[in-house]
Amino acid sequence: MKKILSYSCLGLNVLLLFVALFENQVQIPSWFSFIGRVHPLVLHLPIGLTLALLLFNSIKPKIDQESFHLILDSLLLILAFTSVVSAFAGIILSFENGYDVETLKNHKYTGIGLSLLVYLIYEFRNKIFTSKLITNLTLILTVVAVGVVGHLGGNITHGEDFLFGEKEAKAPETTFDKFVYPILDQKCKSCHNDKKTKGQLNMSTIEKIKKGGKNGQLWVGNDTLNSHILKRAYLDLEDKKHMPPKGKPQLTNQELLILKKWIQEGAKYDQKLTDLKPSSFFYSLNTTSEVKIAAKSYTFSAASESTLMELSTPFCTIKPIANGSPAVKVNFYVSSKYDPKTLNSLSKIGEQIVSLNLSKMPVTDESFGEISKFQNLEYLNLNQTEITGKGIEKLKNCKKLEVLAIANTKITFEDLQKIMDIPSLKEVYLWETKFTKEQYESLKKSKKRIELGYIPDESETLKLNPPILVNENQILEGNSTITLKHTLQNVDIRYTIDGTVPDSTKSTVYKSPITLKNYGAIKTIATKKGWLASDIKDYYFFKSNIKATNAKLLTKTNPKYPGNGETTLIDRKQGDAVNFKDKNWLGFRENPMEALFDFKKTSSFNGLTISYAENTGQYIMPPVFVDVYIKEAGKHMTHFKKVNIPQLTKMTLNGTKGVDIPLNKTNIEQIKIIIQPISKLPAWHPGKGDKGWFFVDEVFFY
Amino acid sequence: MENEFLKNRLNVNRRHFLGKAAVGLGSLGLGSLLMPNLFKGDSSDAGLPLGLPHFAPKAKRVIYLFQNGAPSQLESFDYKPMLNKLAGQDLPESIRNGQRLTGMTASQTNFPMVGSYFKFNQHGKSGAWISELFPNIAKIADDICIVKTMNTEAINHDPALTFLQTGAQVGNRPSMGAWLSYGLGSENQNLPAFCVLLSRGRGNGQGVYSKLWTNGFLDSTHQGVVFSSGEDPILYLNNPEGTDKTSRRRMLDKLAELNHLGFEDNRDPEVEAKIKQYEMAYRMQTAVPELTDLSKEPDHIIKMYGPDCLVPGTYAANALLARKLSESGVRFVQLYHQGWDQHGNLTGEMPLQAQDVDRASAALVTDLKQRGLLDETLVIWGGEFGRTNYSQGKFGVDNYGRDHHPRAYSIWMAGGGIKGGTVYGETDELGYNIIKDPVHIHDFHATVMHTMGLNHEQLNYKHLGRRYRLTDIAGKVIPGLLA
Repeated sequence: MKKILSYSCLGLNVLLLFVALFENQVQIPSWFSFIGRVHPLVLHLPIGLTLALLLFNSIKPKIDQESFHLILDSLLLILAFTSVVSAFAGIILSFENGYDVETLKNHKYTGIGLSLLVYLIYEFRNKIFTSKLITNLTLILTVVAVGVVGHLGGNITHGEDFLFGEKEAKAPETTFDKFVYPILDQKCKSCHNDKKTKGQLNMSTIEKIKKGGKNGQLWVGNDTLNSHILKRAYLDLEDKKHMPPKGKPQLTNQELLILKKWIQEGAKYDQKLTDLKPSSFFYSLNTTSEVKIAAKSYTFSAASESTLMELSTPFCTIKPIANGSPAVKVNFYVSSKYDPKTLNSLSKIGEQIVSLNLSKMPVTDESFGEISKFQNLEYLNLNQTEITGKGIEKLKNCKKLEVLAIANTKITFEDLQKIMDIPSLKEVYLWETKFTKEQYESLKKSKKRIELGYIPDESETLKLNPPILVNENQILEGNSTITLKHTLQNVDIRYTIDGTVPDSTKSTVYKSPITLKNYGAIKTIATKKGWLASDIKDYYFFKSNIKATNAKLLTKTNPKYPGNGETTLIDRKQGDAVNFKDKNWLGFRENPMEALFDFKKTSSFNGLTISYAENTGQYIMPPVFVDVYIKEAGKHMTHFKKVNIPQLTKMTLNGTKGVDIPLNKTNIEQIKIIIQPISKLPAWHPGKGDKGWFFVDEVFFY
Repeated sequence: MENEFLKNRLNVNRRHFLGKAAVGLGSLGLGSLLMPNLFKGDSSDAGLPLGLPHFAPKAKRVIYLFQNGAPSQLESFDYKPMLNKLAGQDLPESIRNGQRLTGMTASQTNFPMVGSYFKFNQHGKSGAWISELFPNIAKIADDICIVKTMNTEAINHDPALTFLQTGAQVGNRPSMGAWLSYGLGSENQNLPAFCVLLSRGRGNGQGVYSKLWTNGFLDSTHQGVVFSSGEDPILYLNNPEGTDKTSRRRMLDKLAELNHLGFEDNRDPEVEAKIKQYEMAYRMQTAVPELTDLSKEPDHIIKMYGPDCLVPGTYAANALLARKLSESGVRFVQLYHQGWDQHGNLTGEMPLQAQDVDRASAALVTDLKQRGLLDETLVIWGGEFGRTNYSQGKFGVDNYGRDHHPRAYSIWMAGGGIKGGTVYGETDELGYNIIKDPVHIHDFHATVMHTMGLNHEQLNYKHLGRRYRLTDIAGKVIPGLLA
C-alpha cells in the first residue's frame, strides 16, 4: 500500500511538472474536467495534514522512536499524496476559462512547488527528522509554503480584498448602491471579479458592470425581457446556463424582484434615493421603517387550558389576549343569560384576568368584592350596569387598573371620588352619569383622562327626517290608499296632493290614509316643536285599475336592456331608477318605442301613465314626446293625442317619474303608444350632443 | 454475576426499545386516523395557530363605513385651492402621465380641471382641512387619521370594490371580514363574527354584491351575514308560527342527537360545525332582540346619530346598529352606503350624500369613545377609489362631475391603534398624483391586520395547491398610521 502511494506520488509529480511545462500544447479532454472540480475539496487535506504534522512533532518526546517514525512515515506520505493530487487537480481546473492570469500564475507555481517540496521531505525524511534544527526549519518552511499557496488560492475564489478588504462606511446614495449592488456583490461577484472573470464578466466596480461580459450588457433599461441577467436567472435551475449556477447560493424572490423593478424603472445608475418618486418601487422599500410591536410582558404564569375551557360558556368568553400570552380577557354577553355565580368562579383565573367587560349585564354593587380579587385587572367595563358605586373602593385592590368605563350608570359622585386616586388609573369614562355641572368641572381638573362624551347641545336644533311611506310600492290598485308614518313621537305630517309645496304650518295634517284619483305626487313634510321642519319628500303614485290582457312591442328594445320581454310593461312591477340594469326596465336609444296593448270589457277608461326612469348621470332622460292611438270597440284605430314632454334643464336626482295622459273614454279595445327618446343630450348635460336613453318599466291604465 | 445483570439489563432495554417504538408508531398511526388532517398540508401548517391574535392587538373589532361608489376626495378631505385657480384649464399631459381613462371620459377631447365648489376649513389640533359638507366629522378631527394617499389598481367600481374587500380584483377570494373571522374567531358566540349592513343614499349609485362579503374558499361560517333593512334585522330568526320555545328546543336537541350519530358514523367535522351553527342560531333568538333594544339608552342618542337612526335601512340606523353589534363583540361590521358615484351633478348630489353620513359617522366615533370602546375598535370610512381633478363632461364652476381616479384618494380611520388627529401622506397641488407616503390597498390591509394583532404574512390558507392571504404576495404595514 505504502509502495503504491509513494510510487503514484512520484508519478503524479512528474506528470504535474510535465503538464505545467507544456501547458500550451496540452489538450484536456472534457471528461477530465471532473478531476479539476475536486480541487476545492482536496486542497483542504494538505492544510489539515500540515497542522497534524506540527502537532505530532510536538509530542515526539512522549512517544517511543519506533512508533514515531512509523506514524511520521504515513503522515508524510499522505501529505505528499494529497498535495500532489490537489496540485494536479488545480492545474486541470486552471484550463477552464475565467481566471485572472496573474493571480492564477502565482498560485499555480507555488502550488506545484509545494507539492514537490513535501514529496522531497517524504523522500528525505530519515535525514531531516534526525536533527532537531533541520526538522524545525523544514516544518516552518512547509507551514509558510502552505500558507502562501492557500492565500493565493483564496484570492482567486473570494477576491483579493476578502481578507483585509475595507468595508465601505459611506451610506449608499443611489438605488443601485443600496439595493442592486449588494445582490451582485453577494450572489455573483465570487465568480465575476478581477481574479476570476467567468464569461469575461466582472462585477467588481460599476464601470466594469456597465461594460458587461462576453454576452453583452447585463441589462437594458425598461426592458426586462431583453435583459441578460434576468434571462439567465429565470432559466431552469437544471439548465447549464442558469445563473447563479446550481449549487451556488441562488437569488431569492425578493432579490429577483429588485433586479426586475430596477430594470423596469430604467436601470438608472445615478437614481438618487432622495429623488425617488412615490410611484417607484424603491420609494417604499427605502422608507420602510421597522414596525414595532409594543407588547406588555406579564410575569404571572398562564392558567391551564382546561380551566379556561371549563369556565367559558357562550355567554362568558374567556380568551388569552394573544397567542402565547398568559393574560386573559373576559367578556360577558346576553344580559338575560347572565349568571351572577360566574364572577365568583372566575377567581380560579383571578391572577390572569387583565380585561373584564361586564357592560349591559345586570351587575350590582355586590360584585365589586369579586372583581377586586382580580389583582392584575387593567381594563374594567361596567357601562350600563346596575351599579351605584357602593363598595367601589374595593377596586383599590386592583393595583394595575388603567381604564374604568362606567358610562350610563347611576354611580354617585361621592363614590367615584373614592377611587379617583388609584395611581395606575389613566382613563375614566363617565358619559351619561348624573353629575352636576360643578362636579364634572372638578373631575375635569384631574390629571386622568375623563371622557364625558356627547352632551346634547340644547341650542342646536336638528332637522327632522321626512315622513316615511308605509306602502310597499307606489302602485295604487283599485281603492288602495296611501299610508304615511314618522318614527319620532309627536310629529305632525303635512302634505299636499295638488303639486304645490307643502307649508309647515298651513298644509293639511295627515290623520288617516289618503286616496288618489289618478297619477300624481304627494308632497310631504314633517314638523315638530323644537325641531326644524324636514325636507320635503315627494312620493309619486301610479294608479292602476285596468289590466291590459296583452302587450306587444312593435319596435325592438336596445339589445342590452330587453327586460323580461313585452309582459314587463304590464306586470305591475316597477324598477329602481338607480339600478337600471334591473330586469324591470326596458331600454330604448335612437329608436322610438312602439307598443300595442289589448283590453277586454273596459266600461270606463280614465287614462294611462307611462312610468319611466330619470337618471341623468347615466344619460337616462325623459322622452321627447308620446303619441297615443286608440281603438274603441267596433271602430278603427285613430290617432288620439300627441303629448310633448317638458324637458329637463339641469341634472336631477334619480327617480321614477310618470307621463300621465287622461283619456276619458269607454269600451277601449286597443291602445298604441309611440315614445321618442331624446336624440341629442342638451348643452348643460356632461354628455351634450350624445344620444340619450329612455327607460320604461310599466304602462299603467286606470 | 454482575455481567449477567448487565446483559439482562441490555436485553430488557432492547426489548423495551422495540416494544415502545412499536407502540409509539402505532399510536401515531392511530392519531392520524383520528385527525385526518394531521399529515395533510392544511391551512395551519405554515401560519400560526388560529383563533388568537399573533401578538397583543390594539384593535379587537372593526367597523368599516364603506362609502360605495367612491366619494370625491377633492370635495371632502384633500383640499386643493390650486384647482380653483386653474379651473377650466386643461390637465397637463405630464401630470396625467399615461393614466388610463374609463370608457366614460375616454372620448373626451379635453380635461378641464375644476376646484371644489364647497369651502374648506381647518379643524382640530392637526389643522386638517375638511370640507363644509362634513361639519360633524370636522368636529372629531382630533380623533381621526386622514389618509390622503390611498391608491388602487382598478379603475372601475366592481374590480376596485372587489380588490378593496378581498385583496384581489377577481372574485371568489375571502373578504377582509371573513379573513379576520377565520384568523381571530368569534368574540361573541351568540352572533355572527362578520355582519353586513346596507343602505342607499340619494346620489348616483353602484350595486353591491354578495361576493364582497364572501367567505371565498374559507369555511362558510366566516361568510358575512347581511342584516335586512326591515323591522326584523335578521330574517328567519323567529320561530315559525305555532312553534313555541320549548318545542323548538326539543326539536334542536333531537336533531343534535341525530347529527351526533351521523358524526360517529362518518367523522365529518362539518357535521359538528352544523350542530354548532344550530345552537348559535338558537342563542341568537335571545341575543338579537337585546341588540335592537334602545330603551336602556338615553333619548338623546337619537339626537346624536340624527333622527334618521330610527328609520330602519338608513345609514344612520345602520351606524347605530353597527355600534351595538360591535359592542356585543361582532368582529367585523361592514356598512355599505351607496350613491357616491358623481359623474355628473356632483354639486347637487354630494351634499345629500354627505348629509346622510356626516352626523352618524361622527356620532359612531363619539359614541364608541364615550363608552371607552374606541381604543379597541377600528373605524374606517372611505370608498374604493377617488375622483378625477378634471370635470367629466361639460365644465362649470357650480355644475360638474368627476370620473374615477385610482391614483390617489382619501379615507379616514379612527380608534384601534391608529394615530388620531393626524393627516397622512401628500398629493400634488393638482390632487392627481401622490408625492409623499403612498398607501396601497395591500398596505392598507396589512396595516388593518396589524392593528388586529395579526401578521398579514402569517395568516394564510392553502387552497388549490398554494397558500393564499389577504395581502396576496404584497403589502407592508405602514408605521406612520399607527399610534
